[in-house]
Amino acid sequence: MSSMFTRSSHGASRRHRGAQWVAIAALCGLVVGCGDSDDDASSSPSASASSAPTTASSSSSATSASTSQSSTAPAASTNTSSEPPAKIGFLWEIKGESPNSISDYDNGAAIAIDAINAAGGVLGKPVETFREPMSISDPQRARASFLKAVDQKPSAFVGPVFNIQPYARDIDQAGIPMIQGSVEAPLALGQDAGSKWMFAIEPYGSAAAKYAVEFAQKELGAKTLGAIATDEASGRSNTDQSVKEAAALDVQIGSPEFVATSATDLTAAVLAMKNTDAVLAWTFPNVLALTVKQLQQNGITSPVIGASTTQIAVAAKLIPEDALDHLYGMVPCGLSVTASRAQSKAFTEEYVKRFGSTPSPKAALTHDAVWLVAEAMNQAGTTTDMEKIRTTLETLKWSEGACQPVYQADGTHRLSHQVAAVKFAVDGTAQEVGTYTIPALAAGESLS
Amino acid sequence: MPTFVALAISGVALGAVLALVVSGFVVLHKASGVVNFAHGDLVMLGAYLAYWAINDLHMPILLGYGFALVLMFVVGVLLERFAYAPLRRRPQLVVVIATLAAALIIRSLVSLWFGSDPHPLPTPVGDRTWTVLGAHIAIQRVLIIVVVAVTIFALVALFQRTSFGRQVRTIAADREAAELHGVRVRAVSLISWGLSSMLACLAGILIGPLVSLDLTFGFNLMLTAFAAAVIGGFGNLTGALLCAVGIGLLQQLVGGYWFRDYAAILPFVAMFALVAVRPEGFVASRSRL
Repeated sequence: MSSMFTRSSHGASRRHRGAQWVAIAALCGLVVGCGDSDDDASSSPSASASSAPTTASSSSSATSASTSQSSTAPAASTNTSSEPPAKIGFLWEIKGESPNSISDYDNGAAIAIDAINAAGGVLGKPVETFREPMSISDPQRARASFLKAVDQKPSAFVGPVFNIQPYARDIDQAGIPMIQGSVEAPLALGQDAGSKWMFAIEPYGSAAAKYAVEFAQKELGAKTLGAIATDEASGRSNTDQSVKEAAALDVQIGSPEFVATSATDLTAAVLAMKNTDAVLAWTFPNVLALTVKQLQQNGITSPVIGASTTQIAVAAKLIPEDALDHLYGMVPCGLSVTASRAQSKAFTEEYVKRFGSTPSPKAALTHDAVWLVAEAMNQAGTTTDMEKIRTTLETLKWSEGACQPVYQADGTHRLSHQVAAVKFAVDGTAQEVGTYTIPALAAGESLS
Repeated sequence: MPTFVALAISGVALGAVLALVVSGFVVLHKASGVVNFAHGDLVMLGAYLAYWAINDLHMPILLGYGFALVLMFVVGVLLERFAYAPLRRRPQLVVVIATLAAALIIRSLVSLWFGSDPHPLPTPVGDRTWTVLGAHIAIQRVLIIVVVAVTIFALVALFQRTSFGRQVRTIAADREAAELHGVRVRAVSLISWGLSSMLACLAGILIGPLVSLDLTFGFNLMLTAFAAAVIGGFGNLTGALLCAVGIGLLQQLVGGYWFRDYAAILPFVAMFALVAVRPEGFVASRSRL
């Protein structure tokens, strides 16, 4: 028995040692196999220096189609430098990844990347990109995605686009220059959630409400305004801004009508607009459509002025065609193939060709944001020195954008300084009928 | 006067839609004892299916509506099979949570399919209006009132004059006794779920052209209809229908003239206030429906 035990224990010991070596070998194999991966969060391949540049989702973006944009955009440096290729991280979801996601940002970025690389890339090398889906409804998930994106060591970020405050501190600590697409006021430099690393591509959120009153008074001759707004944060803050501006311009504005975001009947609110010269509508797209329809049904022909939701409502064909003549939007820019600015025209043409629909200002702003980070890296002469890229972004002035005529950071790090009043055509394109310049603000200041 | 007429007709139209939603609730509650929290999302799904049929499958509008109604009957049957039947013997709370889960699944699937942008649902009457005593009334609202009235009459006839209706009422009175007397409870349950879904679809089809389709419009209607069901006496169809119309008028008239900023919450304020006075509901529970 003892020999059996002895034989067994020896056998067991050999088997045990053998298993140990197998485990160690497997672990080594795992470490080597995983290694330093560049895989991105989406299913599309990440760009590498030797392969054609791609972005995450656009099916046509893999081709490096040059656009007429490249002929008017600043030429990238053709000197090959010792810097590694620029790597830009895109922080947004695309359509289908969550209920509220859209592909506008990704589409705009795809056009920009293809044009930048066709013009020689950044510092003579093609730009690499990756995309990290950032949830706009789950801040914890968004934060985790951001930290994962930081691990990929990009030269700069473009995005996120919404609900950024929950992880603003992480953005500050990451120390990577970022151009984000939100209008949240606390993210401005000098405000609670601001950071020297964060720049904003959208104009101030309240600018639409402020200049809508001026547009109504000066261009539409309105002496009495009405306001219908959805009863939520942006509806209320836009209404407050409009009321303040009306007082400053000595325009009468009636008692604002706050309606539920899910309202199915606005009869009472609409009838209150009867004796107004113009109606300000700070609502969601479905409520805007209902407002416009019920105004029309009740024979009230006052023009309606909304914010960027007007573009969504028109693009979704929620607005009756014969009501478009009375509808205006206060948006970052009007995009159409007949736009007077060559860059806007070229971008719109390329977008329609690739994606079969009219671009939104969000797509154009994202396109311009990508160009801005590329230009900042070119001018700074580096893709790795974050501080240099950041300070270059602070001083950069760029006038080749598809959306805004000029981008230049003010003291709050906001890059856009214009709001346009637009009218819409049946196909959803927007024609600018007025532009308003937002004054540059110092850090900590807000638009009054 | 025109303002009063406009608000009154709007109130009746809103009440009619709520009546349709609440009837779907009550039919199901009577037949299976279930409070279906997916009902609002069935309203939304029905409207989206109609949109899909008309916009993507290029069906004529009325055919698209009919197609959606048939599909929603099938959806209702599937819900019964997967969300209710396996949990039939479990506590009611478990079934309620299962319906909530079904609601979330339906909403997520619709959002992945159609995205989050609102969509317009076409209607045969377009955006035309009639002028009644100086008030401009959308013909769609008149259509809602007429269609709902016809539907409710048909539903009442179904409950009072058909074998199916008798069986539903028997089950509602005493399920076990009904089973012992040979009532095919499972078959009645299946048909009731299908019928309830069709009623939800009809509500979505009627209100959809007025408001644009988005992911939450059905849920909000359901909440308001729920208040009507509670005030009228849950399980009492007559009471729930009357209270639904009453709530529509309350929101439009009272909300239109005095509490405009709070019109959305008036049904729930009324629910709390009236239930405190008469917890069993406002209509006699001896109603045959």
